[in-house]
Amino acid sequence: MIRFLSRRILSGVLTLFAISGVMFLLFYVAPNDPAATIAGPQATNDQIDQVRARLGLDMPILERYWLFITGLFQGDLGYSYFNKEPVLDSLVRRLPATASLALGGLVVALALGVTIGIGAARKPGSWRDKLGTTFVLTGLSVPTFVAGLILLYVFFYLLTVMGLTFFPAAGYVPFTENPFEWARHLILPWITVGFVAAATYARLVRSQLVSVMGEDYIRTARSKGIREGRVVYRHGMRNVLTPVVTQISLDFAVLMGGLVVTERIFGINGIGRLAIDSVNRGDQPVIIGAMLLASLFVVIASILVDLAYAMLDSRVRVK
Amino acid sequence: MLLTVENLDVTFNTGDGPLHAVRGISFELDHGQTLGVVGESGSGKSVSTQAMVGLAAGAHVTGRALLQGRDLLTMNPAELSAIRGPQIGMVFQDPLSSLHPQFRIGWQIAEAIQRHERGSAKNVRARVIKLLDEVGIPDPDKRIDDYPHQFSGGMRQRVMIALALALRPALLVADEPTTALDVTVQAQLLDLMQDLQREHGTAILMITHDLGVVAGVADNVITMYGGRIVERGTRTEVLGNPHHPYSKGLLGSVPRGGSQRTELQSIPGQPMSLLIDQPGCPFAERCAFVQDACLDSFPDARDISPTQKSNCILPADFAGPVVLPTIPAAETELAKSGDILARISDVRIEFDGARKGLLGLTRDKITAVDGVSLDIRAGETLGIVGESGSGKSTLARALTGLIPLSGGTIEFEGHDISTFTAAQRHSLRRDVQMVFQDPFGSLNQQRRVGSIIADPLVIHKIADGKALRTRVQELMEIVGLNPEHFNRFPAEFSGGQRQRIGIARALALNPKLIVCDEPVSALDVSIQAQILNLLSSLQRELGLTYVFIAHDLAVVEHIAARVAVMYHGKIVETGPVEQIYGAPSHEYTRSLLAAAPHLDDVAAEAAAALTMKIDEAR
Amino acid sequence: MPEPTVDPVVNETPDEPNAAQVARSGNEVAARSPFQLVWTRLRRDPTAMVSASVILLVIIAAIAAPLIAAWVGHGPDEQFRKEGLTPSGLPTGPNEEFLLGADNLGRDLFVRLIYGAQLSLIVAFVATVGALGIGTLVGMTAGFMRGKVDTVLTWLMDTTLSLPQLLFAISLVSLVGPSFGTTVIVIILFSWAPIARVVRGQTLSIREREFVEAARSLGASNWRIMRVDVLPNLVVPILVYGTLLIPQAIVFEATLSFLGLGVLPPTATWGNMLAAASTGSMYTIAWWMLVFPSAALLSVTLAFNLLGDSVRDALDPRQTLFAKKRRVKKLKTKEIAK
Repeated sequence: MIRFLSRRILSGVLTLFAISGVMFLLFYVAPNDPAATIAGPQATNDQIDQVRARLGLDMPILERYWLFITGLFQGDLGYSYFNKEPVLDSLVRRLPATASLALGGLVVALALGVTIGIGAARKPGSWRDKLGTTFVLTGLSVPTFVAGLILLYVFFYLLTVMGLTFFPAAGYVPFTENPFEWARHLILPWITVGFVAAATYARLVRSQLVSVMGEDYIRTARSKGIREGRVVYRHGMRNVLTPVVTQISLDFAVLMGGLVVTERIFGINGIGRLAIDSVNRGDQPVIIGAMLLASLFVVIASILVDLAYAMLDSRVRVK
Repeated sequence: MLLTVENLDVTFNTGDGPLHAVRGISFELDHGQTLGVVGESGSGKSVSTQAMVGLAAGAHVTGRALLQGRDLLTMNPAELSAIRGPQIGMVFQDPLSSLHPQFRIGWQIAEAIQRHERGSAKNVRARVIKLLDEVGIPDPDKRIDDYPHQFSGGMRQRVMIALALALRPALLVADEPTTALDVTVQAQLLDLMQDLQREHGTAILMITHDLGVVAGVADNVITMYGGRIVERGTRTEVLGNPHHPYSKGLLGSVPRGGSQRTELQSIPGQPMSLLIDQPGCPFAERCAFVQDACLDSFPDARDISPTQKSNCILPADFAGPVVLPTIPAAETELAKSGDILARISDVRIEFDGARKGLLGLTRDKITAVDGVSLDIRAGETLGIVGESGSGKSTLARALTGLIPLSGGTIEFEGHDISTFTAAQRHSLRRDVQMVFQDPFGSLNQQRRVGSIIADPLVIHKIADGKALRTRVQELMEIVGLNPEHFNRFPAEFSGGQRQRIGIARALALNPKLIVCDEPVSALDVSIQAQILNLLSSLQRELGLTYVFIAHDLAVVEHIAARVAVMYHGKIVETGPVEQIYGAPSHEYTRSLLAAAPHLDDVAAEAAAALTMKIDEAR
Repeated sequence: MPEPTVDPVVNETPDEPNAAQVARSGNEVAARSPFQLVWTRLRRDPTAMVSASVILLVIIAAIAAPLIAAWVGHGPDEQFRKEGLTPSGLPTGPNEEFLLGADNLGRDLFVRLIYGAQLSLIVAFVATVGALGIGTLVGMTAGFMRGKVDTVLTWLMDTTLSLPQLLFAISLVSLVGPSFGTTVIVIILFSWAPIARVVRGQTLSIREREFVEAARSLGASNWRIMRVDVLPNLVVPILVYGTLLIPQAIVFEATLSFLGLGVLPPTATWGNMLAAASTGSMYTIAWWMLVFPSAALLSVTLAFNLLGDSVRDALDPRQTLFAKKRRVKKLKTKEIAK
C-alpha cells in the first residue's frame, strides 16, 4: 500500500512539474510582452525595460523557473503583475466561490443523474429509460454557456420583466455573510452546472446498474426471497457506488478548474473568472498559479480515487 | 406430492424473435426424493426451474407449478419472494459469482433468515454458525465474518448450500452445483447434500449435464432436449435401460470408466435453435431412426414400464442398455513402439506471487511445476490428468514455448530448446501446436474463420493467394466443417464447430506434436464425443502425437495410451492407462478414481435387474 | 487509475444458439454476420433512426451551403444594413426576407447558421479523427507492451488529463492567436488522452484472451498480434467513443468561439453567433439571435449523443432486459497458468 501510494505521489509531483514547465515555456515563446502591456502604449523603450527588470522578466528563463520552484516549496506563488497581490492569496480568496459552485452543481448533477440512471436501469429500453436518457443527454449536448444564457434569459430577464425578481442577475454572496442570499444567487448557476454534468452520472449509473443486475449474486439475493427494492438498492447499488464515488471526486477536481464560463456569465468572482481575466491581461504568475492549483486538485483527487477503490472493494481491502 | 408441474411453457421475447425455451413439460417430485434433470445446453432445464420460481426476467410463462398445493405461476412477485427461502432453496453453479463479493458470508446468510423470520441479532448469528458447521466449514465462529473470496471453491459452494437450506425449505433446486468444481470436491459436496437430505427430508431437484452425477444421487431421472422432456423413469431405468434415441446417444457419448478403448458414439449435428418453433420431435434432425411421423407432431409418452416413459414412436422393446463397441486391441498397440519425440527433464516453473512483507517489497514465488520429468513418444497419446492447481496447464504451455522455464530442460527431437536461437524457436512452432480449451475465447470473434485458420500459414510464409485458400478449405474439410463457410465469423458456429476450427488451425502447419489443453471440457457431452472421435481419427490418419491434458478421468482414459497423474506441480504416477486406472499405486490416484462418478455401476445394476426380469419371466 | 466513465464493452455472444446460428439447423435462414446483426438492431431503434436522419440532414445542408446562400440571395458575411436593421439600428426579426432574422450587423442569420454548421462539422470530424488516431496508437502500445513503455505513456495520459482543459486552452490560444487550426489542435490535445485510457484498458483485457495466446503459440510477432488480433477488437469501443467525441468537439469549439478564442468573426460559427447574442444582452431585444443558434447546436449534438448511445446498445445487447449468461464449465485451470 505504501509502495503504491508513494508511486502515485511521485507521479503526481512529476505531473505538476511538467505542467509548470510547459506553462513557463509557453509564456517564454509567446509573442506578447507583459512588460509592454503593463507599461502602457505610451511608454518608451527605457520605461518598458524598467518594468521588465522590476518584474524580473530580464532574467534567463531557467533562473526564473528555479526561483519559481523554490518559491513554490515555501508556499509562494509569486505576485500578480497588475495589483502586486500575492498570487496564492488571490486564489485562496476566490476559492469559496468556485467551491460552492462546484459542490452545489455536483449535488444537482447527482440528484438528477442518479435518479434517472436507476430508473432507466430498472427498465432498460422502456419509455422511462428513453425519456430520462434524452433529458440528461440534452444537458450534455448543450454547452454550458448556452444553458446559462437560456436560464438567465428565462428566469432572470423574463421573470423580471413580468415583475418577479426572485433570481438575481449576477454576483456572489459568501455563505458566511448570508446563507439565504448565498443560495439565491447560486441557484441558477447550480442548475446550469448540474444539468450539464447530470448525463455523466445517469449514463454511468445506468450502464453499471444494468450489468450488475445481470450478475449471479443478484439472482442469489432474489432466490433468498429478498424484496426487489432491497435487491436493487442494497445489493445492486453497492457495486455501483465505487465508480460513482470516484467519478464524483474527479468531477469536483475538474470543475474546480473549469467553471470559467459559468462564472463569467453569472458574474461570480471565482478562480475561473480570475484566470480568464489574467489571460486577457497577460498576468503570467496568476495564470500559472491558477493552472497549478487546478492541476493539483485533479492529482489529489485521482490519488484519493485509487485509495477509495481499494477501500470500497473488499476483495482488495481484505487479503 | 411436494411439487407437481403441468405443461410448463416458457417463451422469451428477444430482439431476434420469440425464443421458445421450454415447451410444455410436466413432472412430479415427492418429499425427500431426488429428481435428476439431465440435458445439454439449450435443453431448457435451467430455464424451466428459474421460470417456475419467478427468477426468469422477461419470460412469458404458462402452465401450472403446484408447490404443496399452491400454484407458483399465479402468484405475484411479493408472494413469490415470500416463498423463496422458506420453501424453496436454490444452489447455483458458480459459487464465486453467486455470492455478493462485498458482503460477509455470515451477513448474507443472516439476511436470508431475517427476511423471513424474527429473531435477535445474537440468535440469528448463533444460528448461522450452526448452519456453517452443519455444512462442514471449519471454525465457523471465525469464518462467519469472512468474505467469499477468502474461501476456496468447494468451501464457497458449502456456504451456498448453507444459505439455501438456512430456512429448512422443503425443496432444494440445485442447478449444476458441482460443475465448476474439482472431482474430489464434487464427491464431497454430493455426499453432503445427500446427508442433509436424509436429515431434513428435503426434496432435491438436481439439474445437470453430467450423467455420472445423476447416477450417483438421483432417484428418478428426466431427460430434456429442445425444451421438452423426452424420457423419464427411475435412475436404473433411464441410465441402464434407456429407450429414447437421445438418451441412448447421450449415454453412448460418455467415456466410461473401467471399460477399455471403446468407440464413443457421438450424436451427429448440433442442438437446434430455440427460435424455431417446429411441431415435431426436436431431436428428429439428429436421430438415426427418424421417420416421417416424427416431424408432424411430438410423440406422446409411451410406457416402457410402469415408471418409465419415453416420448418416441419407436416400439417399447427398443429400450436396452447402451453397449459400446471396443476398438480392436491391435490398433491401440500401434503407438507404444515409437521413438522419443520430446523429453521433459526435471522442469520447474515458478511465478511471482502477491507481494508480501512490511513495505510490500518482497514477493513470494508460486511453484506451479515442481520437478517434472516425462517422455513423449512419437505417435502416442500421453494423457496428463490432474485437478485445478496441479500445474498441468502450465506444463502444457511450457511445452508449447509460451512460458519460460525456471529450471530443467525440454528437449525436442534430441535438441534442448532453451539453446535455440529466435529463428529456431520460430520454426519449432511448426512442429509443436496447441489446441485450447475455450472454443469461444480461443478464436478472435472479429476475424473470419478462414483468416484464423490461415494465420499459421501466413505467419510462417508457407502459402498465399489461391494456394492459401485451397489449403484452408482442405483443412476445414479434414476437421468436418463445410469449406464454403470460410468467410463466416466464429459467432456463427456452435461450440463444437468452433473447436474444430481451433483444431484446423493447429493442423495447418503439419505439426508433429499437438498439445491439447482441456479441448473438450467446455463442450456438451454429445459434442465432446464428436471431437474426441475426430482427434482419434486424425491421429490415425496423420500420424500425430498428442499430449492430452484434462481433469476428466474418463475422457483421458478413453483417449490416452499412457497417463501421468499430476498433483501440486509434481507427477505422482505414470504408466500405461490400464495400469493407472486398473491398479493405481499412488494414494492420490486412488482417491481421484474413487471420487469420479461411476456410470457403469448403474448400467451394471440395470443389466442385472433386466436379467432378473427375463429370468423371472421364464 | 479508475475506469473512465465510457466503458464500451466488447460483446460476448452467449454459448447457446442465437439468430446467427439458425442457418446451421435444417431450416434455411441466411446466416448473419455480426455487422448485419448490429445493423438490424440499429434499424429497429427509432431514436437511432431519427438521430441519424437529423445528422444526415445537417451534413447535406452544410455541403450545400453555397447553393442555399445563392438561393436565398444573401452571403454569410454580407451586411444588409438597410434591410436587416430597423431604423433605430436594431436587428429585424424573422420575415420573408430574412428567414430566421438578422443579427446586429444586418447579416442573414439563416445563411450564417448553415455556414456555421459546415464549420462545426469540419472541426468536429477532423479533431475526432485526429484524437482517435493518436489515442488508439498510444493506448494500444501502452496496453500491449506494458513495462516501461506503459509507465511512461500512462504518465503522459495522466498529466494531460490533469491539465485544466479550458484554462489551458484559453492560455494557449491567447498566446498563439485564435484560428481554425488552433482550435482543432487544442481539441485533439485534450481528447486523445481519455481515448488512450479506454483503449489501454481494453487492450489490457484483450491481451489476456486465449486467442492472443493462440497467436503467440503460432509464432506471431507482437506487431502482427496488435494489428490483426487486438485492433479489430478495439473497433467497437473506438467507434462508440468516436460518436461521443464528435458532439464534445462541437461543444468545445462553440465554447472557444464564444469566448472569442475560437474562430473569429466575420466567419460564422454557432459559438461566435451566440457571443454576439450575449454581448450587451442583445438577446433581450433579439431573441432569435439566441434561440436559433442554440437550437441548431443542441439538435446536432443531441442527435450525435443519442446515436452514440444507440450504437452502444446495438453493439452490446446486455444492456437490455434479455441477457443470457455464458456457461462456465471447468475453466479453473486458467488461474495458475498465467
